[in-house]
Amino acid sequence: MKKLNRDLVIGIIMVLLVSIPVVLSIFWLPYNVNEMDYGAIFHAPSLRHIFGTDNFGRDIFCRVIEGARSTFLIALFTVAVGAVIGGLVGALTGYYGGVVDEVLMRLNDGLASFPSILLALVVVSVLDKGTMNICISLGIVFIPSFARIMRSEFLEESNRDYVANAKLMGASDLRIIFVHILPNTMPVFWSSVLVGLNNAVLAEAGLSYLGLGVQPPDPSLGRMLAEAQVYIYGAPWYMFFTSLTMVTAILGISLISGNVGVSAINFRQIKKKAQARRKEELAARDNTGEWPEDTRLSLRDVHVGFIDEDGVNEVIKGISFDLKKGEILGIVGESGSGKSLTALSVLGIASDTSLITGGDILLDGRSLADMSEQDMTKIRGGKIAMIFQEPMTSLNPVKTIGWQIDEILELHASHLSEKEQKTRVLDAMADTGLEDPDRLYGMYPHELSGGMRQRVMIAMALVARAETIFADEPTTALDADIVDVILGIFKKINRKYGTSIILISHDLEVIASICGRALVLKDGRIVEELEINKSDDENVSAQAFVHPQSEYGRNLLAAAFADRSYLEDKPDGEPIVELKDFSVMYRNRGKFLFSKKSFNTVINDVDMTICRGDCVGIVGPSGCGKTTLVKAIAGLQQYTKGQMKLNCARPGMVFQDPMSSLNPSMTVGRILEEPLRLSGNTDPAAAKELVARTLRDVELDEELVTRKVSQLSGGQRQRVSIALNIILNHELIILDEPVSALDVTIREQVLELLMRLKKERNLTFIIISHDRRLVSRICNKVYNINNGRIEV
Amino acid sequence: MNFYIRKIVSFLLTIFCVAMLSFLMFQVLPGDAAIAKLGTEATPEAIEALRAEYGYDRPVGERFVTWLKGAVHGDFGMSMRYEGISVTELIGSRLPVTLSLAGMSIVLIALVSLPVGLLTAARPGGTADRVSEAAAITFMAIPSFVTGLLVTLIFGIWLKAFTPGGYVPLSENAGRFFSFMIFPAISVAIPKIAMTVLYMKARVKEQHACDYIRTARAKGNNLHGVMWKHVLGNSMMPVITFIGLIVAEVLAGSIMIEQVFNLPGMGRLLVNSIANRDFNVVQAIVLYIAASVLLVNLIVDIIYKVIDPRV
Repeated sequence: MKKLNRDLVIGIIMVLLVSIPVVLSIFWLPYNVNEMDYGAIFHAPSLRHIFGTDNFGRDIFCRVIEGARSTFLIALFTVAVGAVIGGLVGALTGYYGGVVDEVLMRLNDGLASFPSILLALVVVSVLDKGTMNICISLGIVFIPSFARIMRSEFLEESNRDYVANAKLMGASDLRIIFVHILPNTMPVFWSSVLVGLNNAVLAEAGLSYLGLGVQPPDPSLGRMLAEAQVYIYGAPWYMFFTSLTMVTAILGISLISGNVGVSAINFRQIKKKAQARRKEELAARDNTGEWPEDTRLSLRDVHVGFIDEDGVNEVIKGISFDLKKGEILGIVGESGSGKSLTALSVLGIASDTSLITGGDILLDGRSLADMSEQDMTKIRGGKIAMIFQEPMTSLNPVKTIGWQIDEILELHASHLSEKEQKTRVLDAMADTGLEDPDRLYGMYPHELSGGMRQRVMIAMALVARAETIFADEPTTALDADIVDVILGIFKKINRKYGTSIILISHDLEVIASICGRALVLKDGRIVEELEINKSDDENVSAQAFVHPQSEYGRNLLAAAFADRSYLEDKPDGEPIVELKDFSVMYRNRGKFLFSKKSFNTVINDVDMTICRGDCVGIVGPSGCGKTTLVKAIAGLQQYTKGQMKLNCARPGMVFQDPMSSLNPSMTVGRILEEPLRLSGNTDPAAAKELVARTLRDVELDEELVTRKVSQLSGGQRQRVSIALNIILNHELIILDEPVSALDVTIREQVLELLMRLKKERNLTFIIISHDRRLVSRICNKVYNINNGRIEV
Repeated sequence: MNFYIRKIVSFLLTIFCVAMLSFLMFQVLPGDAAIAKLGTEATPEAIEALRAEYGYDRPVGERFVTWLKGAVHGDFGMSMRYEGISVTELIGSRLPVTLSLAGMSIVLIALVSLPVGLLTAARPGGTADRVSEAAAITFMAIPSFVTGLLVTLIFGIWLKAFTPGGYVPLSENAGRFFSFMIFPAISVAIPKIAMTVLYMKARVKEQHACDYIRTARAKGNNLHGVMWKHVLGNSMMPVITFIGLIVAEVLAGSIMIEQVFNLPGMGRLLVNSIANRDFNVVQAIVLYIAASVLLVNLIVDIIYKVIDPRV
C-alpha cells in the first residue's frame, strides 16, 4: 500500500473523533440535550458527565455532540447549495464567456470585496434569524467563490485542444460541458468543497455566536461558545470542551484538504543516506591519478536520481567524459535522456528532489559534488556559466536587463568600479549582436523579443568571462537566421578566450556546425561518441559525422537527416477546399462592459485552393496566423469574412500536443468510441470492433483501450490522435505540427504511418510545420504565411 | 484610456452598485421599521403616520435618489431605534474604534507575517518551514472569536494585562486607549497572520520553482541573494494583492471581536441594529465597510502599477 502522508492521517483521525459520536448520536444519546436538571448545575467533568454540565444542568457532552451535528448539517447544506449553484454558474459562464460572463464576474468581484460574514449578516437581517435562514444566507454567500473557481477551471479547460476535438466530432455544448470538461475539473472542485466546508463551519459558528443563527435552547457550537463566555470564570470546562470540539473538527478538515495527494517522503533522510553511500564507494576507488593538464571538467561515472515514493529513481546511470580546455563538446539525445539534468547536476542546481547518487564531478581537479554551497557559489557564474533554454521564464520579470547582466559582475568581479562594470555589460551585449545596448540596458524582459532575450542570456554567460559555458538548447526557440548568428558568437568566444563550451541540443545540424565531437545520450547513458568532420560546407549532412558505432546512433542520424521523399506524380483532383478573400479575426475583449466591438484581424484576404489527394504545407514563423487559418477551415473560429467552400464533410484535425488534444480523464477506448456514439452508432459490440481495428490500423496494441492518455508514450498518443481522425473516415485531415513534439527517431515512424494512411484511404492533408525540410519531402503544394498573408 | 481614470471610474461604479443593492435589499422586507418600532399592536393610523414621517410612502426610485443624495453628503437619515440621533452621528462615534482596530490589526499582520513567511520559506522542508506551517494551519482552524476568548483568558484573566470588558475612548486618554485596543487587535490579527503566512510561503515556494530563480543560482547567488534580490520582489506582488483582500477579512474579524471584547465599534452597532431592525443604520454601515474595502483595493491596484513594470 502507498504510504499515507502523516498530516492526512492525523486529519482523518481528528474528523473521525468528532464525527463518530455525531453519527452515533442520531440513534442514541445518554441525556436529552435540552432537559434541564437544576440539581446538577455547573458540575465539573466527571464520569457521569464527561464534559461537565452547564448553567441549566444540561450535559455538555451531549450538547456539544448535538451542536456539532447541527453545525455540520448547516455546513453541508450550505456548501451543497454553494457548490451546485455556484459550480453551475461558473461552468456555464466559463464555457460560454461573453456579456453574461462579464456581468456575472463584475458582480462577483463586487461580492468578493465584501467581507463574507457581513454579506451573511445582511442576508440574515433581511430574512430574520433562525436555522433555515442561516442556511440560505450562507448558501448565497458561498455561491460566488465556487462560481469563481469553477469559471476559471472551465475557462482554462475550454481552451484545450480536446475540447476543439470534441467540437469537431459534433458534440453538443452540453455534452462538452458535462461529459468532456466536467470530469477534468473534479480534483479542483472537491478540494474547494473541503475548503468550503471548513469556512462554513467557521461562519455558522460566528453567526450563532452573534445570536443570529441557531436559536436557544437548541445547541450549536457557536451558540454554546457565546454562553460559555459568560461563565468563563466559574465553569471553564464549558468553554474548553466546546472550543476543543470545534477546533478539532476544523483542523481535521483543513489537514485533510491540505494534504490529499501530498507525498510522505522524507527527503533529507534519503539524501543523507545516499550521500554517505556515494562517499564510501568513492573512497573504495583508486583516485590517485594525476589531473591531466589539458582537461577542464571531468565527469566520472556520475549517477543522478530523483527521490520518489519508491526511494531513489536513477535517471542518469553512469556518465563519464572529459571536457578539454578550449573544446566545444556537443551533447545530443531525445527529451528525457538526461542532457539538461547532467548540466544542472554539475552546477548543483538541479531540482530539490534530485541528487547525485554516485561518481564524481571534477573541475580543475576539485570535486564539485562534495563542494560546500558557499564554494559552489563562486563556481556558478564565475567558473561555469549557463545559458538556459527558455529565455522568457529564465529572466527575472521585474528587474531590468542591465541589472540582471550586471549582477554577475557584482558577484564575481566586484573589484571593478561601477563604470567599468557598465562598460563590460554593454560590451557583452554588443558582442551578442544586440543593437543599441544603451537603450536595452534599462528595459525589462517583457519588452524584448524572444531572440533578443536569448541574446541577453548569452550576454550574461559572456560578461564574467567564465572559462566554461553550458548552453542548453540555446537556439531552439529562434528563427533560422538568428541561429547562425548565435552559433557564430559561440565560435568567436571559443577562439578569442579559449572558452570551453558544452552545447546541449537535440538538433544534429546545430551540433555538427560547431562541435568537434558529440556525446549521444539515451536513457541516462552515453551510447555513442560521434566524431565530427570539420568542413566549411554550408549544408550539413549525415556525412559530417564519422561512422556511428551503435545502432541507436545510426538510427538517430538516419532520422535527423532523413530524406525519403513521399512526393508522387498524380493528376490534380477536384477542389476540396476553396478560400477566396478569406479573413479570420478575433474579438478584442472590451475594457468596459458593453464597449464597442472591435476585431483584430489575424488572417488577411487569403486565396487558397486545395484539391482532393493533395498534401498541402502551410509554413511560416510562429505567430504568423497559420494555426488560426486552419482552425477556421475546421470551423473552430467564430469570426471569419470572405468565402470558404468546403467540398466534404467536416474535416478532422490532429493537434501538435496530443497530451492536450486527448481528454485526460477518459481511457483510449472511451476517447475513440466518443465520435461513434455522437454519430449515432449505438451497437457497442460493433463499436468495440471498429475501435480495435482502427488501433491495429495505426499500429497500436488493442490492449491500450483501457489505458489513460497519461499512461501512453508521446508517439502512442499521437497515433491515438490519428486513429480518432480515421475512425470517422474524414476525407480532409488538418495536421498542426503533427510530429514536432515527438522524438527524432519516432518522428519518422509516425510520418510513415500518416503517409501510408493517406495513400490507402486517398486522404487530403493540410500540414502546418515550421520544418521546411519536412514539408519539402511530403507536400506537393506549400503556402508561406507571413503576418497573416500568403507570401509568394 | 488612462489606467488611473479607468480604475477610479470602476471604483465609483462598484460603490454605486453596492449602494443600490444595499438600499434595495431592505425594501423587500416584510415588516418595516415602523412596525418594528411601534410594535404589532399599534393602530394602522399610527403606523401610516410614522411611515410618512420616514418617507416610506413614496416610490422606491424616488427614495433611493433622496437617500443617495443624502449619502453623498454624509447624511444617512435618522436612526429608527435611537430617537433623535442621526445615523451619521451614531456611526461617527463608533467609526474610530473599528478603524483603529482594523488599522492596528493590519499593521500587525504585515509586521509579523511578511518576515515570518519569507524566512520560513527560504529552506523548504526545513524545521522552520514545517513548524510555521503547522502553527499557521492550527491558528487558522480557530475561529477569530475563540482566539479572542483565549486572549481574554490568557492576557486579561491570568496575566491581568488589561481588564476584560473595559474600554477607554481615544479622546480621553490615547495611551490607555491603545493599551486596551492592542489585545482585540491581536485577536483579529492572529488568524489572518496565519492565512497570510501560508499564502506568502506558497508564493515564495512557487517563485523558487521558477526558471529565473535557477538562473539566479546559476549566476552564483547564495540563498540570501536569491531571496532578497529575486524572490522578494516577485512574491511581493501577489502578497500585496492578498493584503488588499485581507482588509475585508479584518473588518469581518473586527465585527466578531468587538462583540467578544465589548468594544463600542461599528461591528457591535451593526449586530445590534440588525437585531433591532434599524435598517437605516445597517444600510449605512454596509456602505461604509464596502467603500473602505474597495478603496484599499484601489490603492493596492495603484501600488501594483507603480512597482510592477509589466502592468
